[in-house]
This record gives sequence, structure tokens and C-alpha cells, in this order.
Amino acid sequence: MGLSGTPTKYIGILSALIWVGMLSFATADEAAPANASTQTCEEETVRLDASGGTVASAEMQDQDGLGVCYANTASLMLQSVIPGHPAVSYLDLAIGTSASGVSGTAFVKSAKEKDKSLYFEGGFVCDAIQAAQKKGRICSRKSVSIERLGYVYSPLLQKKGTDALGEWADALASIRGQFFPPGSAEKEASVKQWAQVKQSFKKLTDYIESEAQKRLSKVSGVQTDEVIGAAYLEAAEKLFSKKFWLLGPKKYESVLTEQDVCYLDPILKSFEEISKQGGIGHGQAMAILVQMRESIDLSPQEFFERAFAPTCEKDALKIPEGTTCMDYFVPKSFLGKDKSSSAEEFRLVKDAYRDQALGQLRKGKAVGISLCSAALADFSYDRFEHIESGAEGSRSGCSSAYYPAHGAHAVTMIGYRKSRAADGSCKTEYLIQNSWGKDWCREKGALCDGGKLWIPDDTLAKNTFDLSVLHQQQKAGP
Amino acid sequence: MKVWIGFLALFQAFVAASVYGATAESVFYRFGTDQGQRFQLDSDFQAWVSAVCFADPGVKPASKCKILSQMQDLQSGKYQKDLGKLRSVGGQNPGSLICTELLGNSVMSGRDSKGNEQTFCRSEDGSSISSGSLDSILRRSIKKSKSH
Repeated sequence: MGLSGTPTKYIGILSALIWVGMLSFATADEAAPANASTQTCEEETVRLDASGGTVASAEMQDQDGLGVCYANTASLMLQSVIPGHPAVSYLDLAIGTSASGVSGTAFVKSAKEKDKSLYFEGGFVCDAIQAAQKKGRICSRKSVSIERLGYVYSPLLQKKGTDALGEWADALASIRGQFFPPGSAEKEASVKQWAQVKQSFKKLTDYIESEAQKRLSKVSGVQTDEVIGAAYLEAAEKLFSKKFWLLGPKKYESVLTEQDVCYLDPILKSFEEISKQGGIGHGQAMAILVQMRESIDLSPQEFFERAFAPTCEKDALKIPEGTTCMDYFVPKSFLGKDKSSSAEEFRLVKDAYRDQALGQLRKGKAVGISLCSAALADFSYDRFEHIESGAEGSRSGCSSAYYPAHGAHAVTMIGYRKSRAADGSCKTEYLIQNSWGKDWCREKGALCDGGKLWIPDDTLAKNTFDLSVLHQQQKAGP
Repeated sequence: MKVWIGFLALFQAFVAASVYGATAESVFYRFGTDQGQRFQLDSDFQAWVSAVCFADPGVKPASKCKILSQMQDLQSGKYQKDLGKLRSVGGQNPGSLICTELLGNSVMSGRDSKGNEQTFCRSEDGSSISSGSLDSILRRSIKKSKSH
């Protein structure tokens, strides 16, 4: 072995040991259950989705093209620890994460440079939970109107949708900042201009509201939240269709004056940019505005909560005190170019990871995992092979020519089962709940249970780059 | 005459129910404020397909619904030249990506009676397929072409 390879090997093993140590410490932080041994091979099955389990009432989620897997996972993890186990809105979690400045669609954006060099990508599950903790409350799934509508009336809410909302909130805050600059000597003038901006918004929203009311007047039957929401979305999309931007704002002079357009322009421009990126539709954004006539005076965070979930405050959920979300990134050295060190690290990390996951599941807590989604389709997938081969997407090893629609992903572990394999070895499989609807794993036959998949621990170990777990601090003794 | 026509219609309905209805597994999904749609399990694609595609006994479904002919194209490798359009970000549903980026269709998000979400890939004629199957169909096609 050359001199250059030796330090890499030791650094690699050291990283793995540190990682294992961190996991062991975290596990020891909480009271170990009576049957916590993971070394035995007794047949055992734990399912948090079974009757009486902590996620038994969880509905299957299908995030479509939103790219909010971290929020889907966070929602299930939180449901498993909140008393009563109510369904948590993943859209609220995604928006909260986006508004807090962390983008779930960019890898390790917030990580420090030194961390980036040591670990693989991931970690947005805990970012989402921490953003919710910072906000102080989260919305229940039933209180988020758009989530209930299921995007049917907003196909443009696919692709970077939540990021787009974050950008819009920023734009809104920026506009307000222009009129109320800190320490401004011209505050009086600013106030006057600000009033005009608000007036412009009012005019716009009045128009959409009257259009929506016209539509509603033709509806026969019960006007549920969904019916009303759809009417607003349709009215707003009519006004702010893509054509509006191609033809220019003057087309809508009957609705807006030049001055209105002028004041609205910065925000509308940001919509235009978002639309070019394939993000949220103008109509969708404006429909939110309709619900939020006075939203312009709110902070982006308040704005989102009230716009998306008018009853959230009433039905707000709280994350139990003392809850901490921790990410355990698999060290990059886990890969290693020296195969002998890799095998040892692999065993160490896999064992520690299994102990941690099983311990959490026994306590009824769902566990988040960031991994290569190709592994869900093909249990033999090994991302390390793809990193080494320098294939496309080689930074994480999550993409290859055979899996063009796959990449880095977050899913939720909600159970496990241990059994003895035909060769006498001990076999552990994890039950994974995904956010791709109910039939994505049908090709796996009996291993697929209505959108939940049993997956071997070896497959997970080869493809995981981050484990997210919820710890709860022990109360201090008397 | 009318009696005979009525009898014939009843017989046809009976055959249709026997072949496609009574024996077929089906599910119902609501889409926003719509009345909703019934889907039937397609054994070839292992996916839920608009039940309307199976309405006429003896008629090959692909000739009736655009989504099924698109699935056959996907299976035959027609879209493989466009694979570069696919780029998964944030764990997007691969089926949704394939639906919009490769097939140029739209995605509808439905809910069943228990509130479970399921997305469907909707072709321009309105016929739809559950998006979860698209990824496996594409992967099989890629594997087949690479092995040749």
C-alpha cells in the first residue's frame, strides 16, 4: 500500500468509529427498552402502521413532482411523536422549510464547507422539523386547504412549487422593505406609497373575488371548502395565465391602471421568473393572495400559514418539548478506495445504523432516511459502485443510465421484521413508507404493501447517506 | 323487435360485466371537486387505468385510450431519446416526472375514500394511468434495449 493510501484508510475508519460513537451515545440518551437486543435472531415484527401504532392513521402521500420528500418524511416522524398521533401537513412543513431559507431541492446548501467535504448529501428532514420548531406550531393535515385540493387545479404547483412560494414570500418582504426602509427619513412618503401598493393589491384581489363568486353562484349543491377553493383558483388562473405575461400587463388595463402595474411589477416579475423555471403558477399564487387580502402586512411566515391553512391556528399541533431531530450522516470515507477498510466500515456503520433504527422503532418513533431512490426499485443497487465509476450523478451515486428518473430521496422507516433466512443467517428487513402513492412498488409483489415496501437492511446500508431520528430529552430527576 | 334489441343489450352488458367488470379489480378516486373516476387494474402494465378504457368487450384497450398507446410506446423504447429531460430533484415521484417530461401529459392528484393520495398520468383524451407504474415500464424498456 502506498503512503498516500494509508492516511485515507485510517481517517476513514476513524470517521466510521466517530459516527458509530455518535449513534451509540444518542441511543443511550434515552431509556433503552427491555427487549432492545438486536443481536438475537428471534422472529420479530414491529409495525408502527398496525392498529394502535403511532402512524396507524397516516394516509398515503403522493408528492407528485413537488420534490418535498423531506417534508413527507418529517410529517410521518412528527405524527409518531405528537400525542394522539394526528396527521401532519407535509405542505406546511415544506413551506416552512423553504421560508426559513433552507431549500429541500438543493443539496447541503446550508452545510458548512468542511462538513460538505466529509459527508454525503442529505439532512433536509431535520431542517424541516427544526423550521417547524422555530415557528412554534405546525398545521394538521386537515387544516391545509391546498393540500386537500391535491393540486388538481394547480398543475403549475409542481416542480419547485414550495421554493417558488418561498421566493414569493421573499419578494413580498422585499417590497415592504422598499417602502419601510429601516430608519427611513421619508417614512411619511413611504407610508403613502405603501397605501397605494395595498390599494393595487386590493383591486386585483377584488377582481378575482368577484369572478370566483360568479362561478360559485352557478354551483349547485354544497359549497365545501374544496369547491370554494377551486373557484378562486380558476378565477385567478384566468387572470394570471401565462398568456398574460406573453401579451404584457397592458392587456389587463381594464383591471389595473398603469400605476397599479408599476407597484405590482416587482412581485409580478418574480412570478414571471418563477414561471420560467416551471414553478408555481401566477394564478395559484394570486389565489393565495385572495385569501390573504391583508397578507402584505404579514411576515412571510405568517403569510404562508394564514394563506394555506386558515384554520391552522385553531387546529395547531405542537411538537413535544424536548424533542430534537438529529441527522447522522454516513461519512464519505465509508466508501473508501481501499476495499478492506470499506468492508470494516460497512459492517460498523451498518450495525450501528441498525441498532439505532430498531431502537427508535421499538419506541414507536418513525425514522427518516435519505437514500438513493434507485435502491427502492432495485435491491441490488449500490450507489458506491456508481460513484466509483464516475457515472452521471456520481456525487451521490444516486443516478445511473438505468434509473434516469431517480435521485436522492427521503423516505420513512415505519417498521421492521427479523427472521432466519434459508441459509441460516439472520435477516432484517425494514418497512419503508414512501411519498409516491399506493402503487409505485407493485412490481415487488408481496414485499409491496399498498405503497409501503419491505426492503433488506443490506440494500439500505449501501444506499443511505443520512439517518434522521427524533430524540426526546429525559426529564431531570428531583 | 324491441324485445330482441333489449335482450341483445342485456346479453352484451352481461358479457361485458363478466369479462371486464365483475371479475376486474377496481378503485375509485376523487379529483378535487370532480365527481371522481373509477379505475381498473390493467394486468399488462400492473397499473390502475381509467375504467372507461375497458368498457367495450373484445376491443383492444389501446385503440380506445391514448394513455394505453402511450404506455406501449414507452414500453417499446420510443421515448428513450428524451431521457436527458429527466432529472429528479427532491425525491419527486419518478412517475410524475416521466408523465410530464417524457409523455407531455399532465398529472392529476386524486384521493380515495380513506384520504390516501394517488397521482395519475392523464393523456389529452382524458384517459389516465396511475403514475407509479411508469417508472417500472421505462426501466424495463431501458434494460431491454441495453441488453440488445
